[in-house]
Amino acid sequence: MITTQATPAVSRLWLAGLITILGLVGCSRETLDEKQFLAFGTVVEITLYNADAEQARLAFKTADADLSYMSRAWHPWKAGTLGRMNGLLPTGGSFSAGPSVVPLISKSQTLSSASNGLFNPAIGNLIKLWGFDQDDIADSSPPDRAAIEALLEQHPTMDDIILEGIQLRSTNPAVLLDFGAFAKGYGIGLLMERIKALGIENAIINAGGDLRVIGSRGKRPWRVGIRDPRGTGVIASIETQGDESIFTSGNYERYFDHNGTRYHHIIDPRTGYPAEGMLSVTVIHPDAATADAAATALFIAGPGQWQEIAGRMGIEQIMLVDEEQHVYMTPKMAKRIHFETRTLPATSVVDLGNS
Amino acid sequence: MLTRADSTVLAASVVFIACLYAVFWQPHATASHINIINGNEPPQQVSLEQDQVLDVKGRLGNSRIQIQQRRARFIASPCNNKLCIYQGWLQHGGELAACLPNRILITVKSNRRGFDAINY
Repeated sequence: MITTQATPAVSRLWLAGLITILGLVGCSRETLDEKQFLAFGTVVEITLYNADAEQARLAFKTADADLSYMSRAWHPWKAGTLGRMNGLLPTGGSFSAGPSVVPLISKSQTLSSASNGLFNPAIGNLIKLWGFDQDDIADSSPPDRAAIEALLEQHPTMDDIILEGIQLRSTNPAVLLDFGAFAKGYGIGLLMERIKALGIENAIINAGGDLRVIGSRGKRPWRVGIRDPRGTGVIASIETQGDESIFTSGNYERYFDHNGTRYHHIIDPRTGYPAEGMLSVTVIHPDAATADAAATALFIAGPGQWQEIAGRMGIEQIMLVDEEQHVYMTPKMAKRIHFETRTLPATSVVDLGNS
Repeated sequence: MLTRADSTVLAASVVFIACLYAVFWQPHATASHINIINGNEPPQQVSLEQDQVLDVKGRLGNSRIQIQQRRARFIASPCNNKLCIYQGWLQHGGELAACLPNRILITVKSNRRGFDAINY
């Protein structure tokens, strides 16, 4: 027998199905606003999740103005605030520092000290000597050893900078400030605070692969892939946890080849040569400037010293890939890392407390 | 015995589950298209479905972009250091390569299971 009357149970089923479908439709309404900017010599991409149109417009307008100002003011070689200061530092005389550069100097002094001098923005002359101040480095060759040693003998450090209020002087004529391993992190940290002040709760700022992240993408976390330093593709992924920064320093970012040897841009201030031993170092930390400086310092520290420097800088979430392609992780990082490669790399979990 | 209403509910359930599958269980991290950004011009969306080679005229000259097997890469550009070419294939959502001197940028977009950003 066929009946056309729905039973109460069937009606309830229909109702439940309808509510579920409406719920899913409601949940699926999401907006993603993206915009790219050229700043800090790279591409800065900002992604906003479920921001309203006016918030997004203001955020992108703010980003455009701030990024362009920071790139200009903090460029070490071009005419601008820091460029002018770099011209005055070798004189040894006191002068007024640009207000936007003062916090950059004081914070980098703290981080440089914590890194035992491995993060050292005072070695701008070494960076210039290697030619990494130029946009195009394809035809570069390594500088003379004598020129490198002459600069090392003068031992420029951030301790040579005397900052009293906004009055600044250098006690070492060899100091030239290059915040290349720090300004991007510091800058996108500031920019994210501006974006948060607009009421935006979910966003990613991606500055040439270095990330400052807040909130989530709706009901799921932001999902970040970490580039495989051994080749192309992604070695691992991480789901972000609210408000944090993910920075990587790698030997593949800027380099030139000369007579079959690759020379990358992360210069060890102890040797004057590109740091050896690592392919990449990834750091997660709430503060973008700290993450930026730490990724550089740990890369330079190398396989033998990174644990000590991480402890000094208070960094707990680290993944390193050394030249043997072995992956080292701290316990807190290991809990979050999901490898994406077909063949799992050789890994070790290293407890910083036992170092 | 199934009533007509029961049959209807059953059919609706099958359709409903199929829809759920389509929405939530898509293939892992498949990139669908790239955005090519040329200076300050609006992004140009290009599908990764069709293999092709594109010439994009930038500030310095032509950048050549190859699309093959749902991946994209720079294969020629008028810059000196060729970092954009060394970047190699882009295939995951969130990946990005740029020829800054020529002001040409490629970003990979994917379905909801891809990466939101690539850290490097």
